[in-house]
Amino acid sequence: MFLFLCASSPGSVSAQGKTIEITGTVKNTEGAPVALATVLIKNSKFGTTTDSSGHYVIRVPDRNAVLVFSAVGTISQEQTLGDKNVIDIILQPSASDMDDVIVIGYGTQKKRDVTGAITSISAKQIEERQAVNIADALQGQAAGLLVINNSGEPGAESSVTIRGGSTFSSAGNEPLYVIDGVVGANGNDINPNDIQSIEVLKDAASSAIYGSRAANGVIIITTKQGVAGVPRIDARYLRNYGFLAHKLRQANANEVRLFRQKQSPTNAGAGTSADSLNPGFNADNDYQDALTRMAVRDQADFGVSGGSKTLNYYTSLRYVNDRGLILNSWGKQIQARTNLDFKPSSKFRFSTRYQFGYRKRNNINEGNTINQTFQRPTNFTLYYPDGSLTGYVSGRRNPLSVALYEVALEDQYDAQLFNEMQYSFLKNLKFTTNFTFLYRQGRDVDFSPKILSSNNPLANSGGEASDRSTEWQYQAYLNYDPILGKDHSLNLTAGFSAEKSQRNSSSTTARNYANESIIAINSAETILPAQFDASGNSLASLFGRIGYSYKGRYTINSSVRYDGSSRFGKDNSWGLFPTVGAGWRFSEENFMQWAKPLLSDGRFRASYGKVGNERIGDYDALQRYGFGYYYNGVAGVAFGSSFGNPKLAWESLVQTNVGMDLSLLNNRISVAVDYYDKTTKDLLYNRPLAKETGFNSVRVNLGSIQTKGFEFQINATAISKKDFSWNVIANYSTYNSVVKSLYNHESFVSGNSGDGGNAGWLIRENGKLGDFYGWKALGVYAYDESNAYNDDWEQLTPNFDAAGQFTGYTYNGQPYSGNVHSLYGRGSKLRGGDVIFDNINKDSVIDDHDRQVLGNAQPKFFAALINTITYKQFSLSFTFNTTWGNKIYNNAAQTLDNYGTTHIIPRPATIYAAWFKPGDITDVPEISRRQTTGNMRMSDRFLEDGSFIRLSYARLTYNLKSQWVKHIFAKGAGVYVYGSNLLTWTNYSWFDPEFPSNDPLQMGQDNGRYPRRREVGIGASINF
Amino acid sequence: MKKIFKTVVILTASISLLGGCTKFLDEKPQTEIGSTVFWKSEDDIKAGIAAMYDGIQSIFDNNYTLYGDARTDEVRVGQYGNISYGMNGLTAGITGSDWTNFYVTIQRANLGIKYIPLVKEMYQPGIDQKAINHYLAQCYTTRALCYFWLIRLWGDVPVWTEPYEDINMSPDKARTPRDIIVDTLIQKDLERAASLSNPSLNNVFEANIGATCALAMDVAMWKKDYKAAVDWYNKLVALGKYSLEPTATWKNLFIAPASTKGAIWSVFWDWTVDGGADASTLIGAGNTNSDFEVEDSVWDYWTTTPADIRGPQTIDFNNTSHDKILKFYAPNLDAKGKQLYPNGAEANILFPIYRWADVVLLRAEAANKLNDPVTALDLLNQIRARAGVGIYRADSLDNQVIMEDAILSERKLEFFMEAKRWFDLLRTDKVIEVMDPILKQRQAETGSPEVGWGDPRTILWPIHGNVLNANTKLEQNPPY
Repeated sequence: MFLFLCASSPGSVSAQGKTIEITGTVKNTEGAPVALATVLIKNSKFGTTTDSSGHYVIRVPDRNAVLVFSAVGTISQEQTLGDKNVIDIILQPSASDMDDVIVIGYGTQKKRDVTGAITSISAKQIEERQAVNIADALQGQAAGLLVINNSGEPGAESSVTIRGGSTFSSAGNEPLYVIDGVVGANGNDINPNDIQSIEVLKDAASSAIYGSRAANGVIIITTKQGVAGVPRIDARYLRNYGFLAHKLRQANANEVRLFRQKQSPTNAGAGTSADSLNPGFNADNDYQDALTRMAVRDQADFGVSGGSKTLNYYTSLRYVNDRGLILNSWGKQIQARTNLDFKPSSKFRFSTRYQFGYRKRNNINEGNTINQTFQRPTNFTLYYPDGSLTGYVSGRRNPLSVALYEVALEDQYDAQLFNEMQYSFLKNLKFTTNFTFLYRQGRDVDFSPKILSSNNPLANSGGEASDRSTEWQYQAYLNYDPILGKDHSLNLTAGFSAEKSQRNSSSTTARNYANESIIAINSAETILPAQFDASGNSLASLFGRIGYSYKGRYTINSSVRYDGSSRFGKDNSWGLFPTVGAGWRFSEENFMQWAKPLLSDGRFRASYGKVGNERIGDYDALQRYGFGYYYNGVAGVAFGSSFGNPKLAWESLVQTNVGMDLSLLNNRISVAVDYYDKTTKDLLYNRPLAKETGFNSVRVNLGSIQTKGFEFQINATAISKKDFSWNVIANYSTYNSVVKSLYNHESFVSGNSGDGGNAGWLIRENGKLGDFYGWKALGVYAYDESNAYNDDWEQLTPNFDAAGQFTGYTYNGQPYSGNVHSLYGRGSKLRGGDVIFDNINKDSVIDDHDRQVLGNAQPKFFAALINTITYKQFSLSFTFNTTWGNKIYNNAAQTLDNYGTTHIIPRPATIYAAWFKPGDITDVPEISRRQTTGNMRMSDRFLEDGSFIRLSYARLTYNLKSQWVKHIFAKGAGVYVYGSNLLTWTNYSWFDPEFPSNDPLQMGQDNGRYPRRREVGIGASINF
Repeated sequence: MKKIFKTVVILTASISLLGGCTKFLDEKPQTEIGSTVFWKSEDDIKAGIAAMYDGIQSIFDNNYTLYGDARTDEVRVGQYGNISYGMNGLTAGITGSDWTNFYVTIQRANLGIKYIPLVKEMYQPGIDQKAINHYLAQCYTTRALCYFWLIRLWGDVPVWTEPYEDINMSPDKARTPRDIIVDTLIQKDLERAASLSNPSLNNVFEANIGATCALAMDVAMWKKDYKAAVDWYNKLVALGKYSLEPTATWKNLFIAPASTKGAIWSVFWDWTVDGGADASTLIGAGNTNSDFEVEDSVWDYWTTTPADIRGPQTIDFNNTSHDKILKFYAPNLDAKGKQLYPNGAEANILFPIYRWADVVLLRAEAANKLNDPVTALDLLNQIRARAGVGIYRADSLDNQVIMEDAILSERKLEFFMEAKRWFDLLRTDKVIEVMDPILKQRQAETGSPEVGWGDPRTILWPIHGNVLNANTKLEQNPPY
């Protein structure tokens, strides 16, 4: 970074010799200073921006220079210098933000000419979030974009989907990231502070220029560039404290004993410790307190940017040190970026983007720590009398020992190098070519010491894995904007690209390390055979786009991409992805002039396009033999479980989008409304193959999913006064995904297809994705005699006399003397204390035929409300978001209430409510009859409403007045307090209703995870 | 004009570059072998055959116990197992109802049968024909073993005698009647194997000639063709390789079969490459309670018959919940003299498939059926004497029924948890006779109506829902 400072200074010095200093203030029509307005010297790259008080200083070469002033949402203004040294400007609001230029892939376009559904997110919007990762930056910002923050775990990644899933695999449902032109870059590698703008391309017509990988939308990220002028130095620091947002009640020692009594009703001694002096079983722990702590995160940013006439530079460095909620969980991260733009002449430009990241974390095992806190009886001790930690007690791990002693280190380096050359043959004909190289290297080290061992005698174990991926990309394209007169504008783009990627990984596990103080795999007694994997794929593409606009009123865009992928069969490797879109700016029509005072701008858009998906295994189209089938010292070779299909071809998605953009009240309010209908065809689908062939499945192009959705976004400046402004962004999205066709029209159950307790999902034609499929629990039989039904399988009511003797049945209050039928489960007759399952097929057995759809995991809608209020030097922003109407299968609670092994203790409410003696009316079955008749089948007992409303982000900033900061030679400085996940309204009982479930076939199962943090922080930023 | 020319040049260059794309887009697997470059050498044959045995490992890994013992009077289901096995309550989703691993093994045998001769014919003519024959014999025997288990567990099953290699061929096949499978496939395979097998190659972990003959004898017994069973027995005797393992080294049949005279065919296991044998978690692993517990009849007999050397070498008398079976593990005692069990992930079980005592008792059973009680009694008593328990007097087993029961009882003890008992009951048509009272007792314990075994059709296993859904021509076994 220092190097670039030096490199740029000679240029500025030489420029200073003969330049004139111009100063001034930029204000808006209401007299408020405009910060970050651009002041450019016309026909040059040289310029500056205004500070928070609207003040600017610029050096111009001579008196003939013309200054161009511009800012977001205003009409740019030109000013000749003349003999003035102070130029104050009042910027007029632009007729509309329609003049904003947005990035659309291999080029830019004016917003007015866009015919697809694109939402732009500015650097300012991101800054208000204190974003740690891209998900923070995106959450709630755009309609149709569902961002789910993964967890409170340091270094965790999140899930982002655009307009719902479109295919059956989780990888295939992630959007495509394009960072500074690099297609398929990893969104998690970017430092949100470096982002200048984000464009979310939602419909097929917008995204199809990226063809084969655009089926789930595209997120285009443009990073910041240096602005010519004096170097700008930015420094920020944030310290952030996190707390367990939601503590759960767990069975205490007394309740554990009560559970034991109910578990063995015939054993008088149950629940009492045989050895009352044994310290091992007489504790009463609060594990959540013991295992968690206040999380602390430090985040420091430093950046230098600036430039001269020929060279612009932007550099940034970020360091994050995060100590998580769970003891000993931590993550550290360094991200660095350098953007250089060299422009020796008006025709030639050379750009370099260099990005480097390093992250390391201790990936705490959630199953063995946080889940174990609930599963382990609270009366088990955590410490021996001598103060040392216990290990494995009666089959349960000590979560504290696991957190402190288990090692799960992950580190990762990633680097990205991007070079681009641009040459303008003519003013309106530009050739761009670029080359990118991406490199990623990861290494995991795991170790579980003897204290955590369940072996007898104790044994340690561990392993190492490493993973390397490399990729290169080459792109070349031409942009041509022929001049066709005042009323017509035409732009053309054509180009090609090629890319190749390679991934190698290896892993080894070992047991019985000689010494636990150093984790060296070569010290292990047993080293198991290493696993190696390697694969590569390549993609070649041709693409083109044409855009035509008449008077800016009628617009037509069309693009086409022709992609070839190595992943498909020889005859099907190429796919064609065409689109067309049209826009009509009806507000410009004469017949709409009457509405001008209200309607500043209004536009209809319609688009239609086809995109593709190729995210499958690299060699699914090849029949191949694999290794690892060892027998008696010989390494066997055999077909794998999936059949290689040489006919494999592209999955395609066809999407129609209609939308409307309105700018109202002099651009104070802008509204975007979109409706879409997208259908995936030829799903890349793992079809089950008749098992008798020896194969399990074959990847085929089969089946289809249709999603229809509606989106609404409003951006309003409610108040805009000199000292007070209030801006609101609100959005609402809803969609519904339906499976249209499946292999052989056959339904199947994804997940748990047996009668265990985990969730299962029914996937069927004309059914929704996310349909939970299991048994409906109607209650619990109060008496043995309650399991009685008439010929129509309607339940009879047993009656008893005063002495408790059964006297007979009644039906609808009338004595019943007909046939009495009973239900059976797992071969046994159901009795008092067993769950009454809905007997769908009206036979005498509760079995697979009695399953039904119990609820759906897809939200009915999701929405967000973002407010930004400024008063004098204060600025407050806060975001609410909500997801509504989805069901969650609380598998974490199910695991407890299923007490599958001796020392798993159910939730307290379950212990109290469990059926215990004839006559008990409850919905919790008898504890001692867990397995006998299948009471623990997946049922709606654990299905909960996942709706929530959350105050997800809030930040209050105080910007120091510019006259004050001048005393410390700074341009701007601010301090702020910040909070995230501050308030949540939900009925969901486990830690958090917001968690990603990426597999579209298995949505909405909460297996218990690292708890979410509630964060508050304080920070400062300064720039020079 | 010059610029337009440049543009044209660039575009032409781009298009010609795409012409080279066919090559650019040709990616070869890096850690697997394309199907066209395998089966070219004797090493490939060995690798293919190892993978076939790996298939047998997958079949037995967890389900050995479920198929052969779980539904019998050897064990009952403990607190952590699925009660359905003990209550004749199998369902189409239950573990074991998926037959895929049998067909994976059949596929690998079929690949061998198809390609092994071609290796010699086309690529490596120098391979000794005797070696080729012996490889083929192993494939035929393994295929016969798979189908023999399939037809006994599910009845009629689809038949594949060639590998599925062409996506244009229909992968769906209907079920073939089981008698046809026995007569036209299993028996033919075994006869072919017997003629191809090299008797001097005698690896106990492979489908050697002894394995072929023992399996053929078992098939004949299943068909109630006792004369044929005796013929196969005589062929086995003629090999001159096998005899009853002495009392002192009886345990070696399970922990070191290669060192014995009595082991015919066992499955090799090495957890470091094969993973732990999952059956250990059902019957005895160090890190978990077992799914199954020893039935009282067996527990009481052995704990009160100290003379029987098999008892303490089969079940763990120290285990109060009766759920640890130590038969398959070498003695490994802690300081208090209690057996230490491996974790499920580190357990080796050398699953016995056939051993000499099995052949001897089958011969006794055949002799009994052929009205030769003298031979039957003699053979039965050989086993009893070896176990250290008193021999039967001829007058105590004085009719065919009593003799058969005595043989079956002996088999229950001798082969406890060796996946024999269920098939013994099936072969002798005694499932319902034996299991009815036991089920009634279990039903009484759970407060259910004492209906006993129930529907006789539930002797067959249900077909797993995933298996049914994957093949449109399959129909479920009624009444499931």
